[in-house]
Amino acid sequence: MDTAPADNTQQLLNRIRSGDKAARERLLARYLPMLRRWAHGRLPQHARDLGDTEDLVQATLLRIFNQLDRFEYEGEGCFLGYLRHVLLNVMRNEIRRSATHGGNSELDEARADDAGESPLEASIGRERLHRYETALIALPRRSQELLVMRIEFGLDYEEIADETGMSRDAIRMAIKRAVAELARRMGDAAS
Amino acid sequence: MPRPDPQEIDRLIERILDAEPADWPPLEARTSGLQRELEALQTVSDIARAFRRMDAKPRAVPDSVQFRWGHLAVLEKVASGGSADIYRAWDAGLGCHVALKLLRDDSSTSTARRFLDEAGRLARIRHHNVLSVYGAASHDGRPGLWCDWIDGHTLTAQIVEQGSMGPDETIVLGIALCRALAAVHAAGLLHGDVKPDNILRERGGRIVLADLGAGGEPAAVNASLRSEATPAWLAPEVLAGAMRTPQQDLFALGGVLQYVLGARVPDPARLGAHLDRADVPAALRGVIERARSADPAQRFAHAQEMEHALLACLASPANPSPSGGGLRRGLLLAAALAMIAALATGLWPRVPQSLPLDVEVSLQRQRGESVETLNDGAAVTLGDRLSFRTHGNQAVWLYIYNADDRGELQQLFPLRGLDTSNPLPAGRGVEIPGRAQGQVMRFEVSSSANAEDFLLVASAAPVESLEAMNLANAQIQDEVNPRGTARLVAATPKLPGTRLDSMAAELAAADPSLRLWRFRLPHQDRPVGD
Repeated sequence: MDTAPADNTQQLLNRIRSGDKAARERLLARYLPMLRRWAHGRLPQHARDLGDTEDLVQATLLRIFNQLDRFEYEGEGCFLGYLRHVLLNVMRNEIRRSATHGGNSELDEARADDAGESPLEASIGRERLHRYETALIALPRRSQELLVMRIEFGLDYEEIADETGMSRDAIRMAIKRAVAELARRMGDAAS
Repeated sequence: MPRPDPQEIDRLIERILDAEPADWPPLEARTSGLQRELEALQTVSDIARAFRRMDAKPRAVPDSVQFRWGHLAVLEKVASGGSADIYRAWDAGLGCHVALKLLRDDSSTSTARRFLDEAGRLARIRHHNVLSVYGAASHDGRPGLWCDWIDGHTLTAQIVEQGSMGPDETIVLGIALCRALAAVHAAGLLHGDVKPDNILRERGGRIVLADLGAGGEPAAVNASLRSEATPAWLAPEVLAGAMRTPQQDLFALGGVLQYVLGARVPDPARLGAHLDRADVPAALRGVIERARSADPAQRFAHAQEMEHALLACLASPANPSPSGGGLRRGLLLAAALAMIAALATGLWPRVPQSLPLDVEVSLQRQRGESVETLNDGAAVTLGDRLSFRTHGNQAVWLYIYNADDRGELQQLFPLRGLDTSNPLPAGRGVEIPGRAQGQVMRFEVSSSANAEDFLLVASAAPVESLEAMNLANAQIQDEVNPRGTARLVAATPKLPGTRLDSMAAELAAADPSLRLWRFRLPHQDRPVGD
């Protein structure tokens, strides 16, 4: 009986680095649908190229996979967080780009603000979302990763445990603590 | 004034994390010191629930059933072809909609047999980018096959409605189709009719290669195809009667890529790449040109080879055209990688300091034991070892470039593997490239050319576009020689500094606070005839 290759994210990344194409496909299959759905909620729908979430997400993922050896993967559980930060940055730039055509950067920012709301912004409100983002990136990175996996990607505790190598109970406690800290920082920012 | 019980808050957080409606503490608690935190928790709750709603799959319940065909509930006719009708149907076993292709009642027995044979061939292929055929059967005297229901549109419809695609978008499309064709070819089949009408784009973006009706076993395809496939996408030798091979699916794919970039059906008489837009990177243009080469021997041998070429386009630096959308998107995507580097090293972009940036830069040459400062215009020769010395009044992000043999930019600093990295510390001199694993490094002039050409950029904060290039250029790391010298690749004699000039101009225009330096160092022993 053959032994199936291990396939947690860390192991897949290691295999991709050693040139394993199947591992690359598996990681892509694992993250692409999740990131696509996530990105879809983050993009305004007014511009044609913004509607093509797949392109943005897939191109970004492929670039990352192409150059995995160019950055250090710092421990388990971080990769989805990396992808999320990367995509958020890419999408922000893309939204700004779609709303601007060079020239005055202050004007560009203002235009970008008028560029239309993403479904998430429409649902939550820009200011509240901004407060959440700001507080989130101020948290220790491990906390960020855990929160994002649970809140934004909807992974259950078992899946997060698989991703991070932590126990389910430890995950649950760590995430709860992270939410409390996030709320405290958001509250501080609002006062 | 009652404060919420800590256990109550704990339960609240659990509910939030489960994206469930929460029992919020009574109003009076909101007036306690926790008011703002409770509001924050409500925001987090709303965000969690919003993401969960976006993740929710739509209910897929059959509406009005027209008739049943085997286990399928047939809902509506969506298209009619020459010999078959296409329906949307509900597959209770799969729990999703499927497309059902039913042969007309008046089809001959031989047609029905061919149809079922075709279905059997298609069902051999399972790939994310190939339309999945779930099965084939005959019920109530009607042969049929059922397959993925694609909620989307054809590439033709997309291009007609929305215009041409950007280069990155095209590359991603090409990669998906290469993988689809690799799966088809691996099953021992040809597609035989790769064209935009047969490529579907599912809502959400998945690319699906469909309609292998013209394809199948190579012998069958070669017996029937010329009358069925579309000439605009066929290789010239096929039009002249040659046997078809998998490579000709790749020829057609090259035509598809040209089509989506140019929004024009390729002229079968004009081979190679024909694009009227300036923002298509040379690498992508080269892929199309090779796929559509007049000489079959020059084309890609198999789909994986073409896929690798497209992947290389994605990894290569963006097209230099300053006005092209390709550059902008390329840099945006490359910027993603810069962000990864920032995350990996904990180097988040800093807020620029308000102190005016004051940086001094000098260029030095080491010959033997002696070190001398070089001015712009000083002659260099093979084997010269160069370094830069900087001194800033505050932390400085420094970027150093020269041009390689092809006239393209090459980054000399920052480089992974060096002990010195950005930001350079304030108030003391720093030597670049400095050390690697404790060993002193120099840039070595290692090839002869007309001149060495450098651009240095200093900033009080990371320069986003340059950070993006930092990782987009895959050759950077290779230039670090662990034996003690960082090799310096000479600029091409034909394009000395062309891109450095335009890059310097763009940077200066984009951000007047940047400090820029140029050094052009002619070679003493430049090649004869140049």
